[in-house]
Amino acid sequence: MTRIDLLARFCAALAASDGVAYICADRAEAHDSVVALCADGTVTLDEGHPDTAGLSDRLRLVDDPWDADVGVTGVDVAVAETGTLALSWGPGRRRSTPLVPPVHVAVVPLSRLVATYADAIDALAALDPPPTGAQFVTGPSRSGDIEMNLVKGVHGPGQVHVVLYPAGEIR
Amino acid sequence: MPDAAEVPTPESSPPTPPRRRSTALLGRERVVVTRPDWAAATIPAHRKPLPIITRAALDQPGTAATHTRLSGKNREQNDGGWPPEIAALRERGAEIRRETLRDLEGHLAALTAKAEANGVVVHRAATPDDAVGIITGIARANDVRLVVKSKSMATEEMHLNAHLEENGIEVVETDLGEYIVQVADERPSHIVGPALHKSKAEVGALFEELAAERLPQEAEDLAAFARTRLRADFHHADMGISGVNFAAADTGTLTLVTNEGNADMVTSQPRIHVAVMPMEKVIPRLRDLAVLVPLLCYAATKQKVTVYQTMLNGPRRDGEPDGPEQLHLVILDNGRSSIVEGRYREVLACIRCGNCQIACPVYRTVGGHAYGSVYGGPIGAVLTPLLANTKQGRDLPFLSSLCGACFDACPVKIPLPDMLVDLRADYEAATRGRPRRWLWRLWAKAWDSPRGYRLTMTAARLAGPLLPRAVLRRLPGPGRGWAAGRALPATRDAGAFRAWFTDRRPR
Ligand code: SF4
Repeated sequence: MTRIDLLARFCAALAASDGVAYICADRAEAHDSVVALCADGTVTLDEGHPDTAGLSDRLRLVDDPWDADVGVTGVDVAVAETGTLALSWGPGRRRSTPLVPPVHVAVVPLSRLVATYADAIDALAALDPPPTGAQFVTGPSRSGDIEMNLVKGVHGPGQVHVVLYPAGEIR
Repeated sequence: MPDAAEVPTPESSPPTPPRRRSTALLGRERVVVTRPDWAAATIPAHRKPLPIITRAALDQPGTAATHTRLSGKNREQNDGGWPPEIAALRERGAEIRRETLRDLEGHLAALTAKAEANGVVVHRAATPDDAVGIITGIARANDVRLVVKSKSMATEEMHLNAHLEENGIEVVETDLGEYIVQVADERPSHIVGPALHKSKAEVGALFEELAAERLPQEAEDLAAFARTRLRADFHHADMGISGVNFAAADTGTLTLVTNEGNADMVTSQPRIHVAVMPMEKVIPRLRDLAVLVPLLCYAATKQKVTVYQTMLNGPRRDGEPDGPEQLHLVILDNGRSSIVEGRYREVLACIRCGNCQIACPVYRTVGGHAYGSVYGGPIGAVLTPLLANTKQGRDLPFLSSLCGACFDACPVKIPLPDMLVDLRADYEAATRGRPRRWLWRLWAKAWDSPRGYRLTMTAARLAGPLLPRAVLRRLPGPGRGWAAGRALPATRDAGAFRAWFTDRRPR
């Protein structure tokens, strides 16, 4: 499967889970999009991730995720089949960033797309040393606990935005 | 919405600083408890006989509406059977779970070794009381006052919340459905959707009592009300308690599968995390998640995957900005090590999707609380009599029509209907010698001969019109308990078919 096929499937799956995808021409444009999505809000940023490097000067950063309007992260891999983002934790990649603020923005170069959910589990299993843990996220938080009505943004973020861009490998 | 209330410490304990109390549970004392005793959070030690509970359940307002809702969900979930790609996962998932059970102790030993190497403190609890002792011990040692909790049916087996509260520790359920039933002082009526039995209007009225003010009544508004209150508690709790969906023996990874994100909060924000799992939740390999997670999600909610899978290897390491300082894993037995040795072993393959409950016509009709046990529906009717501390539920296998829908609905192919039949036989064998059993014997004897059969038919036809309908209610002594929830059949026409048939038989 080509990168373009993976991209198309990822966008469809993410949309089915109520997430929003943005396709940019390159990394610079992707970072501009992140800045635009954060608008004037306060931001907590995973600075330990290579794909977010260079963003910190352009955002209104706060230290405590509980004070932030937006959490900006990179991902380990993104799954085309399901629209899932896999994020492992470590120094500079905290558990709270994609969880506590009401909006989550993820930066994803196409090189990080994998085809299946099983591929994402494999990617997690291959990390050496293993991280203290990982979160897999597919769209905004939801609940069906009140008469099975679908409600979004119950405890986790109510919005998930994924900014995608080719990293020179498009074919 | 006020932030968490600062509560001054009582004068008797001077030096401790003011502590945070739960925001989510503010106003809980205002809630008027209306549920029947058999729906209570803590199940009474001597529950009423099943026919009485089920009769009363049918008379509850709301039971009919719940039946309609659940039937709709059943059609949505189960009409059309398993699509081919999920059917393939089902075969593999069923095999992985059986592989686990063939060497349960071996897998648990591997899990324990891995988890300990990852910095997790592993505890084995033989009984629910042991588990309560371990968990309250951890809470006391760490001066815990406020606990946030995400769904865990294992903690229901030990009535953990009540025990923690007795020790002066506040516990807040954070799954929206669990929060609703906690505030109403009920227990979950379904293993995945704890508040499936509550209408939106009931939830609205409950939250208004809690808030002591009018609230907007759309599902979004009610969820937002709970969200705001629970956020304060996520932020300030000392300890998080969660369940576990799958524990991988080869890596020690604990996986939680949710949609709301509360499990992520509970496992990442407080300084201590205690994960509680019944021993069968172990799986051989992390890679098995690629089969079991999509299978569980499809069976439970027909999603490809839920919004969150939280995978935990250990507590926070040096250099990490957040995460718990301590991670404890409590592995509960409660009779399971005996179950795995016996002929009901496969019931431990269960991945707690709740689909057999939705598929069961009896469950949909009487509701989950009417089983009078922690687990209702077909899985509950099989598991409850086998668990060590719930032997009083031995009659639950009779709460089934044996239609077989639960087997078709089960993602790991547990032969629930066969087990229900075998457990009924076990029950009858265990209650041998009771008068009721002699009556069955007598009946069998009478109908052994055509003559005996004809005699009883005639007797029934003659006696039918003479017996007033109310006779069952007037039975003396133990007969009254037996008669509750039963009705007399119409016997006016007993034997009529036989007569009709004899008339027409060619001579
Ligand atoms: S017995 Fe099967 S259908 Fe019922 S909850 Fe367990 S896995 Fe699901």
